[in-house]
Amino acid sequence: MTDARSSRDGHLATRIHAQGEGVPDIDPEALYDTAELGDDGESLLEPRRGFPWLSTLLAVVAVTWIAINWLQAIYWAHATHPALGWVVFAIGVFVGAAGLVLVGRAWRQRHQIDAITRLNRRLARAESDGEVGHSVVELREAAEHLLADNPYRKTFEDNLLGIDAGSHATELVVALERGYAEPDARARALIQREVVRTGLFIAASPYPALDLLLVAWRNARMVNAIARIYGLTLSFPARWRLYRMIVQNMAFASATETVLDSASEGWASNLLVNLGARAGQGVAVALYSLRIGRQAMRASRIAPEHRPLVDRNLARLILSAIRERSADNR
Amino acid sequence: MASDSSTSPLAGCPVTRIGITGLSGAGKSTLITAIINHLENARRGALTDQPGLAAIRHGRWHREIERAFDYDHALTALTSQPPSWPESTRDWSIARLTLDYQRRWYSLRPRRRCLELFDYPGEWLLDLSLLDWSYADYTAHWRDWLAHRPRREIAPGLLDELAAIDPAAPLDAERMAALSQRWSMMLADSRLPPHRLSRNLPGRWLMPGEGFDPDAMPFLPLPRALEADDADWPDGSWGQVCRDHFTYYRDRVARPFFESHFGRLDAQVILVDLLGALRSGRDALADMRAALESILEPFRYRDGHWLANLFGRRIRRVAIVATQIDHLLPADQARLTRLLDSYLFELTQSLAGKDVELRLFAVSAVTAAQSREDGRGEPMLVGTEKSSRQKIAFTPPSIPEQMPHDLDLAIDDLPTLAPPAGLDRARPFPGRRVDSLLDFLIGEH
Repeated sequence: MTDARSSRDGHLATRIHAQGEGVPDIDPEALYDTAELGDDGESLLEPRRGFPWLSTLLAVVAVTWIAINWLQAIYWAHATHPALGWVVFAIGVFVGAAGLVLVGRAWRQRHQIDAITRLNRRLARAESDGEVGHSVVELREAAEHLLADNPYRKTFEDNLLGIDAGSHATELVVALERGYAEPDARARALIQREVVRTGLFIAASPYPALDLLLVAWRNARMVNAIARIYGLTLSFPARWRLYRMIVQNMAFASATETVLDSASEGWASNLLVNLGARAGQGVAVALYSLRIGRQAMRASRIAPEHRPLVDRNLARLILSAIRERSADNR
Repeated sequence: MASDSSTSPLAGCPVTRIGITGLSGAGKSTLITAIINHLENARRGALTDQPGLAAIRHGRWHREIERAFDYDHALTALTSQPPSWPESTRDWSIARLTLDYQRRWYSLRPRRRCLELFDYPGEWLLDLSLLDWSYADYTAHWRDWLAHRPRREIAPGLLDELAAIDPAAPLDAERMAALSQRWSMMLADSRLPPHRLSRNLPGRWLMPGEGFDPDAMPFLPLPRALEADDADWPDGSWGQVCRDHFTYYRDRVARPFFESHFGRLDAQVILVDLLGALRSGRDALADMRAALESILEPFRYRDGHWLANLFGRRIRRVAIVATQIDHLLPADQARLTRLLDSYLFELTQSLAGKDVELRLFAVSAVTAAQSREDGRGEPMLVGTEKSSRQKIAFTPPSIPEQMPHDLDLAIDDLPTLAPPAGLDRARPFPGRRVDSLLDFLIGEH
């Protein structure tokens, strides 16, 4: 039975395909699968929470050891001459204060990486839930707080001006996207340049044993540069956190990345045939670096990824460049 | 988490109280059942997708409290063969749950919280608009509503009959009883398909609840009462009886209910049967929106107004929830939130500057339709039709993201489905976005 009636003005018609025995049975288990359908896009993984017990323990041991040595030094210096004791004390206080400032700054930068990820996830959820009202204002304030030291702060402020409690979460994300237009373009250009170079390095490398180190070094450099473009200052713990998040997000290969890989498969196999194994390895490494670049962009942005930040067109441009230059070098 | 620091001496843990209501047929009982079921199954991963709820390890429902929500009855209905939807809410009840949280040893947050879901008929919430009205206001509103379609067609001649009554004339008890009966019928017909109207005042005429009998103290709007300002009708006259009964209903029935329960709520969930209204079309949509506006009116009052004190002091989160999104294709389900946003745009704008967090959701408490493909590979839904109990395969229309300004939008022939077979209390019911709603209401962020 088919009931495909025409729609009147403003009336939307439901199409009844069948009723009664002709209808397939309902699979109760499939209802649970259906619950997963229609979920919007992919989000960054939630940053791992928890107290860094080992680091704290090591830090406490180190600080205690340094403090004991310092106190001994003060004691000995004071025994030699009281003024010398005061000098050692002052030096210790100065070094300690400087150390505290540096550590505090480093941890704040690390915390910023987590805060960006959390806000990114929260915005993605707000968008899919169609949030309006005060929560949108809170999200805007959180975004402004995180972007306070950003070199593009003025651009973001201009774009966020119209966002109030009557705005939809999507409007907030779109406003942030507009603010990110320039750093996105710069990051993409950087990724294109760096990935091509990395691929060519591998293709031309006479020392395969050093490839791994070379790739790691170049990719770390690229990630740092991308973070800088987005206005992030990376301390050692912040950098470590960012690397870890990139690797974790890559491990849960997303739909976009699968498309990216599959789009490049044909190109890669052609290259293997045409250019030989070394060039093929260069291409594979280039694709890997491309994924790292994309994840670095995602982790550095507050706005969730609406469209793929690195699409298959960019992948093709990069692979074409590697092919042409590898062919020239042969 | 919803702001709350009060403690219940009985449970000995901080209590979060959430009012859950909705106009008739919106699915309150089903949603509360699904929420309890999700919280009961927290340790089986029902809430893991929401970071704000990740610390909840276990939820336990209490059946022993007074006026407990009848979870057993709802479960029996959903899990019996054939399954059916839980019965409608006819009186107020409370679903109390104890939530155990997993905390680190150094955490200062409570390891146990109580959650109370306060369930009451949505019709009672409509009485909020009565609280600020005089008898003359009540009469004036009903005179306007009865003069226009669709109510003019639902109760033809009723307005003329009421307008013929002289408020100063002595009350005719028999005629009053007959008119009162007709009034109740008119309210019931307005609520049911195909009209599905929402502003069916007074609310307790349809859902009297325990301890109230509408026939004991009936009152009707008398249009001729508007002709004289604050007339001093003789004792025993139509006007005097109707006005006194109205005042009694407003001050002794409706107001105490709000005063005793609403001042303690931390959050309010209002269920909206948007798809139901879409089945009926423009009139139902307009009436439902007007009803929602009157329900949310107290949040717009300035400080000092007693309703503002009652609502604004404590309720900080309001969720307006469109239900039964499983009756749409997966691609359209997220779109329903945007349609709801567009439909209630003016309302959300007016609340934007207030200290209330208003969020719109589109949920399915228990998914009744399975997504499949037809012979041509086109998506369709398969479920069991509620009234005929026959399986049905259908493709609902793709809904727009924007509501037309004149509300000229209707969905024809959208079936109403029965719950699926095979539901099990020991497993989270299949649903959509119930966890997102819970995260908004009680999530820790």
